[in-house]
Parts: sequence; C-alpha cells; structure tokens
Amino acid sequence: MDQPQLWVSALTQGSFFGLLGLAYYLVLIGAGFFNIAVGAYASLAGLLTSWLVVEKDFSLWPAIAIALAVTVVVAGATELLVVRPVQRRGRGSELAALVSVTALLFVIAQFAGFEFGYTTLPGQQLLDIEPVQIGGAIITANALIMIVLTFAIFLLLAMLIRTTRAGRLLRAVGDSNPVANMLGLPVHRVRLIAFLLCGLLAGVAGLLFSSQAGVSSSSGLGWAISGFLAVVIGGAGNIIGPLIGGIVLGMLQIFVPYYWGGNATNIVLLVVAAAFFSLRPQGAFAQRVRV
Amino acid sequence: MTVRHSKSLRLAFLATATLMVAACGSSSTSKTTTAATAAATTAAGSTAAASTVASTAAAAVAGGSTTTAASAAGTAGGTAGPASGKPFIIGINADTTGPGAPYSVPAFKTVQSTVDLVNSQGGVLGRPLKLVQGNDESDATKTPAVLAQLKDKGAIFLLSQQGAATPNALIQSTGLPFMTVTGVTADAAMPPNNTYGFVIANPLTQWAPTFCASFKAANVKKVAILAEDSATIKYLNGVLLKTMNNCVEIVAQEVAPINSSDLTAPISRIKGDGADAVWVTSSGGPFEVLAFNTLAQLMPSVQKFTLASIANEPDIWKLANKGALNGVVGLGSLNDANVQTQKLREILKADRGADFVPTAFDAQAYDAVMIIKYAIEHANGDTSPQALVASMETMSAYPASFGAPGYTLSFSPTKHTAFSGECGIVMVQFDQTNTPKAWPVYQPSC
Amino acid sequence: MTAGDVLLSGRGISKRYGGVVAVDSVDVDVAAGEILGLVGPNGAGKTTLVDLICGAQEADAGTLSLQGRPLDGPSSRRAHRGLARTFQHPQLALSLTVAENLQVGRAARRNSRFGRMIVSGLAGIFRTEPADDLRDIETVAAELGITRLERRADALTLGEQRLVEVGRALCQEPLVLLLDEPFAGSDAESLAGIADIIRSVRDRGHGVILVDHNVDLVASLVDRMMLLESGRVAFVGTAEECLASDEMRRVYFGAADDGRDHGVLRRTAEAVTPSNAGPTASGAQVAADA
Repeated sequence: MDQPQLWVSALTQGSFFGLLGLAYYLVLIGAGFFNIAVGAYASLAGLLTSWLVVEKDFSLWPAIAIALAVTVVVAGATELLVVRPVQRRGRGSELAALVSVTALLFVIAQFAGFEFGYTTLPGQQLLDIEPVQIGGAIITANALIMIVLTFAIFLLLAMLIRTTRAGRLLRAVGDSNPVANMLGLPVHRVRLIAFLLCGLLAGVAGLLFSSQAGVSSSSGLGWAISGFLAVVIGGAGNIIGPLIGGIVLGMLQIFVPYYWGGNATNIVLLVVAAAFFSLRPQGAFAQRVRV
Repeated sequence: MTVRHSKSLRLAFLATATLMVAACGSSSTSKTTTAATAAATTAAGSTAAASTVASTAAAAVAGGSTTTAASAAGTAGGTAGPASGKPFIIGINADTTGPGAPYSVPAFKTVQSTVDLVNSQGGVLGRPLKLVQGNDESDATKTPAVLAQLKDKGAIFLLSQQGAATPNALIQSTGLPFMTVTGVTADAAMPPNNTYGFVIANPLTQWAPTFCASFKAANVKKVAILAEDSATIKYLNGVLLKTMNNCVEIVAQEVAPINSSDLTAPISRIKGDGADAVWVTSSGGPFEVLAFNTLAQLMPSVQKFTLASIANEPDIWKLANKGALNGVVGLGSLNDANVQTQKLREILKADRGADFVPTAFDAQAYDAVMIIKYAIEHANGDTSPQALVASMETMSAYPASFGAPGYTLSFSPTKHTAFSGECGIVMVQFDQTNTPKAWPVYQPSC
Repeated sequence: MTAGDVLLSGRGISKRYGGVVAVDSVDVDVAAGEILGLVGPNGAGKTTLVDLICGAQEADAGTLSLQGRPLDGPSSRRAHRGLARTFQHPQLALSLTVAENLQVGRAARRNSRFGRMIVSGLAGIFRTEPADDLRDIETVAAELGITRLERRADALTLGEQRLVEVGRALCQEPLVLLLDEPFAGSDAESLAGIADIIRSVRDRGHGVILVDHNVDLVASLVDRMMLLESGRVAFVGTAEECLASDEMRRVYFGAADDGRDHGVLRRTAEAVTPSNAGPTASGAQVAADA
C-alpha cells in the first residue's frame, strides 16, 4: 500500500463511486426512494457528450451542457412519469416503483445502444494540461478534476443540507414523508428537486469518469451497482457516508488486484457487500435509533 | 437510516443482485465472444486458430483455375448489364447487436457492399447474389434457430462466425458449405469435422515464429505480458507462449478483467520486472486502449507490442490519448504495397466515402464473397453442397486483399485453410497520430 | 375572528371500508375559542374522523367548511388553510433536531404559495433563520417544557416526541388544532404543560379538537364534548352534560340508569375542572381524595 500511484487511482475511482453514491443519497433522503437509475443517468451523460463531440462534431462545452440538460430532464421524468404514479397506488408500491425504475435502467441502456451504437465511445478531455507528478505518482488532468470536484461537491452539499432552510426542507420531507403533506410541506416539489439534483450529480460523475476508460451503452448497469455498493458500505446516515463508501470501494478495486490478481476483485466485492449487508446494514455511518 | 430507508435498501439489494448475476452471466459470454471474434477477425490475415473462415478448396487445375481465381478476385470485369434471374442465396449469421458487434458490423457491411458490387457487374453466371441475414448475438442457444432459418430461406452457402459461442458442430450439421468472416477458432477447417468448413485466416501456429522474429529484430530479450481475462486470450496465450519460451524470456504475466476501468495496479507490478517490452494481449476495444494509455503514462520508454486486434479497429484508435499508441507494434493485415489491397481501398472509398479506413475485416469480407462467386462459377451453377465444396477445393492462388504483395489463398481436398505462406501476416507499427503503418524493422517474407 | 364564530363545520361526514362503516353521517362544529372533546371507545371512529377532516383520507360523503368557505382538496391544501394535527404515534422527522422539527412547523405556513416558497427557498440557501422564527420556537418549547432543542428527534423518549409534535403543530399557528391522544405516555408535569398550552391556544381564539381515551382529562379541559360510538354521534353537548348522559354511561359502563351509584363520574367531572389546582393523573385518585 506504499505505492502513491495506486492511491491516486484508488482515490479517482473512489471519487466517482462517491459521487454516484451521493446521487443515490439525495433521493434517499429527499424522497425515501432508492433510485437505481443513477447508473443510467451517469452513462447517458457521458455517452451523449462523447457522441455529440465525436459523431456530430459539436464543440465540447455545448455538448456537455446539452448532455447534462437531457440527463436532468430524464431524471425529472423518472419521478414524474415512473415513480410518482406507481407509488400513488398505495401500500406495497415501493417494490413496484423500484422494479419499474430498474426496468427504466435497462430501457435507457438499450435506447442508448440503439441511438449511439454498442461500441465504446471515448470520454472527453475537459482540461488540456499535462499530467502532474506529485511524489512518485502521476496525476492526469482527468483524475485531478474528478477528485477535486468530488470533494468540493460533497462539501458544498453537506453545508447546504445541514445549515440552510432548503436543506432542512429536503430532510424533513424525506424523513417524514407520510405526514409531510399534512404539515403543508411541498412534498412533490421537494421530491422533484431531489430527483433533478440526483440527475445532475450522476451526469457530472459519468461525464468525468468517461474520460478514464470510455463509456458505452452498457456502462450504466455496472455503475448503478458501484454506486449502490458505495451507499451500502458507507451508509446513508450522514452525507459523508457515500464518499467514504466510495473511497473504500475504490481502494478495493485497485489494491485487491495488485495483491491478489485481477480475478479476486469480484469475489472480494461480493464478500464485502454481503458482510456489510448482513452485519451492518446501516453502513459505516448509522443513524442512531433510540426506542 | 430509518426503517423505511433500510427496507428500500433491501429491495435495492435484491434488484442489484439480480442485475449483477445477469451482467456477470452475459458479460462473461459476451466478452468471451467479443474477444474471440475480435481476435479472430483481426487475426484475419494471419491466424487460422481464431477464425473459421471457410477456405475455398484449392485443388485446382493449374492454369484454368488460376485464371478463374484471378478473375474472380478481380474487381472490374464480368458481363455488362445487371444480373437477373433466380438469385444465388448466401446466408450470413452476423452478430450486429451483441458482443460481436464491433467486428461483425463492419464485416457484414462489406459483405453487403461486395454483393451489391458483384450484382451491378453482372452477378454470378448472370444471376444475382442475394444476402439473407440472421443474428445469433453470439449466443449458442440462438444459433441453431438462426442457421435453420437461413437454410430455410434457401441459402446455398453460409457465412458465420465460429467459436465458443458458435460451435463448429452446429454449423456443420446444416450440411451447407460455410466460411467464417469474423471467426474465433479454426475448428471448422481442421479434421475430423471439416467437410463443409473453410477458413481464410493464417494459422495461429504462424504467429509465434513471426513474433519471435519480430522480437529478435527489435532486440527484445525480456517480455512482460499484460493479458485480458477472457477465454479466448487464455487460449491464444496458451498456444503462443508454449513455443515462444524459446525465443524470449517472459518475466511477468499479468491478467486483468476485460472491463477494467483502471490498469494502474498490474502495470505498476510490471514496472519492477525489468522487461524490455510490454506485450498487451487482448481482443482490442477499451481494454487495449486503457492499457496503452496507462503504459504511455507510467512506462513511456518501454517498447510496446500488441496482438492483432487493435491494428484492425480504426474506431478505437481515437479512443486512445494523443500519441499513446505511438510505437506499438502488432499484427496488422493490410499492406498498401499489395495491389489487391489498393483495389479494395478504392472500391470501399467509392462505396463508403473518402474517409473510410478499411481493415482486415473488410478485406476478408470482400475476399469471402469473391471466393463464393468463384465457387459457384466453377461448379457451373450446380448449387448442391457437394458440388460447391468440390469447387472450393479447386481454388489455388487466389490473390488475397490482405497480406504482403503477392499473397495468395488456396484450398484443396486436404486443405480447407487458405493459408499458403507466412506473408499473409503484415507487421504494423503505430505512429504519433495513432495510425498504423507497415513496420520498417521486420516483415515476414513470402 | 371573534370567539363564538364557527370556525370548522362538517355535515354528514361518512366513510366506509368495504362492508364496515367507520364514520356514519357525523356532524361536527368547532367555534373560535372553543375546545371540542372527542371521546368514545376503541374503533368508534375518532381518529378516522380527524383523518377525514384533515384530508388524510377521502370521505365518501359529507361536506366540510372552514371559516365559511368549503374545505376540500389534498391534506397539504387544508394545512395551508389553517389546520394542524398531531398523531396517535408521533410522526417527527427523526434525523432532524427538536429545533428543526419545530422550524418545519413554522416553515409550513411560509411554503403555502409557490412564489413564496421559491423566494424563501433561495433565501434559505444563503441565510439561516429569521430571528422571529427562533424566538417563537423557543417560546413554544418553553411553554411545553421541552429542553435542549439541539437534540435529534430520534434521541427523545416517546413522551418527549409527543410534546415536540404538539409544539410543531402550534408553530404552524393553525386556525384549528386537532390533537390525537396528546396525553398518552406523558408524565404529570407534561400533562399540565400540554393542558395549559391547549387552553392558551383556545384563549387566543383558535379552535381545538381533542381526541383522547382519558375521559376525565378531556372533560377537565373541553367546553363541548362529542361521544362517538360505532362511527355515529351518540351524544354532543357540554362536558358536564355529556358525562352525565345515559349514552356515556351506556358506552363506558354498559348500562343506563340502573340504580347503581355512578357518582364517581360526576365527582370526577367536578374534580377536574380548572378551578382545582394541580394536575390529576386519574379519576381514581380524585375519588379517593374527595
């Protein structure tokens, strides 16, 4: 574990997983819903940006703007057209909503394949600077942006959610959803805003990560799982949970292959996830529950 | 986490577990097939082990068949006027939507272009060729149905991939002669079960000596291998390294998952092993790009070698960072000094636009159709499987659209692989613009 | 509004579930400056009636009006019109602190119109609470005897949570306050606090509907009392009238005037009027003292 280069990789991957986990977290606390479509949002943003730049000759920043806008709209549509109508049906609808959104995940992946092709598209370089060398490690521009932006976003959101009225409203609606209506809280609007923010975050994450190893129409499925694992490991009791979970996951993905070879990763991941899920389902950062 | 959140997460775990199982299941087969197909197709010009490209039989009456072969390979010529009458049906099983898409799509398109071209120049014996398509998505459970469909539609000749995902036995059981355009192994052309199968590619056994000679020419004594974790590459490496241990010292062998998004770990391990060259063995695609991107950053001065995939996938050249592929040496298939290759470029440029970069897949696809044309003509219109097979077996000295100048393909009753000499292989090297050119240091001679 | 004006009015409110009638053609009135007690055995339909008034469930029949205008629509709209309620089991936002839960109550009024919500939302990103809000919250908390407002809601005992929920409802500054079993699980001191606060709400001119099993407590506080039995109004009148009625005797003791001494109820009613000092935890104690 004394190789700085590996730490850079672990941190880069971990940041990505953390951002995905944060997207999950927002909808968890704002709408009490596990929005597995996060993976689809991330891959859609990355794919659309690359496709616009590579196939349609758009310049970079307009492509990014369009891709993020589309992703946010899709996220809003998830709440308005899929989750809300299904959950309106009443008890037992939570599973139905989750299933519907999982189906949406596949639909988006297929649609993306149909529209943009099934091959991998390259990610776009956001900053054209040479890699930096710090200590024994080489940090590319993409890695730098990913890490710095992730930490900045986490800090910003943590502050917003904790200290502002808007943040409190988000937490209140998510936490006391059945009665939030009866308090006159704007539940629908808050949920929608949670979904939109989720789409934006996941889109940014996907965009940044695409420049690492490209993006294809089927990337979203794996990313959905990665973000999920970040939340499982880190817990949803605190906004810092997904970030910690993401970084732990990143470390597993980098250090396990280093010591035990490439095949061990999947096994280790499954074992860790299962362990957390059965022994500490609330994740590393639990909410205290006093009866 | 509140009770509600916890319940949400449990449901999510169920959903995700299902996803993981599905993803793992499909990805392992799909990756294998992709790897297989990729290796096969790229190996196109050079490997027999990878592809099941049916070879046209080369038992030929010397002069006549050569002439016929030559004219069959020719682009222009043929009777004036469009083809008419009952078409000769070629069935093609191309995975255009599944894991084999990166390879099957370009091959399929060029098969189509070639068929159109032949028809516009009078067809075969005056009659048009017709293409009917099936897609087994590289899934062996779907293959029987697809093949049966093609046969029902009246196909007299099949083009298909063959490999782990599409077992030789299945295709043989149709009783129709077949060739593989993007294939995986050479089972189809090797005894005992090779009545109907033909393979265009050079055998895998030819790769090892070629790489040995290449390493020698580049003064490489110690090699570290970075392999993708797929069944195909495992198989390929197994065959290759058995013989290559004699010519170089393998100082490291790292394996990484095919869908890795970060290869820092295995490359960091390689760094300390004192290798003269790093050899990336993969079926191409994002894995290989990531490998060379990372190598360019972490080991910029080491010599880099690849197998045969990346040189034949122009679409992924732009995936790599600027200059990341500079200096990479590997098996290509197209040498512009080859007259037939030039003709192919012209044809495809006219068909697909001036920007089009042809690859081994295109060359094989083109040659496959032309060879079928030859077989039908030489059987004088007798479309029974036996007649066609016998006709294939008469082909000798067909000028290939790939390989060194003057490289020809031939079949015979005892030889269903078209390979006829080392020079089907072309060694290429990438330049600063991530584009491959013929490697000046070493080329196999005919 | 002046004391005595009818604030909330319901006519013919009905609700059935399949074959079971939960609420059967109930008429209800609450005036400004009045506390209406709602009593009855389990399953009488008290909580359902509160749900129907607040819009948590949709009535099958009947009309409601608030301040003379029809009261309908989703529960959030009714909350904005001026209804606030508490629940049999406290429904707080468990990950928020006590102070934040109370602030949610205050914010509820502010978010009643979209424009105002946007403005306050944007302002909310850049500022924290206006000073008035903080003062009101502290006042309410003090009145209810809630201390250490920085604690998280999930760290409170059930009784404390109930208190906070009442506080939150009060922070909404509703026209009509509907309290569902606010006394359950509270100790003597909390009882007194809650009772005082309810009275002061009434004195300020709001209306209160109070649902509880503890008939004595209810009787000590309320002006009017309604007895529900199997979804129907069995009796409605002043607290004394209700306590003395045959219906009350029948429902709670299973018989009408059967010659037995039901004086305990009468004495209880006398004993728990506001003129008596100190809280009483149970009628039995009063009876013993009397």
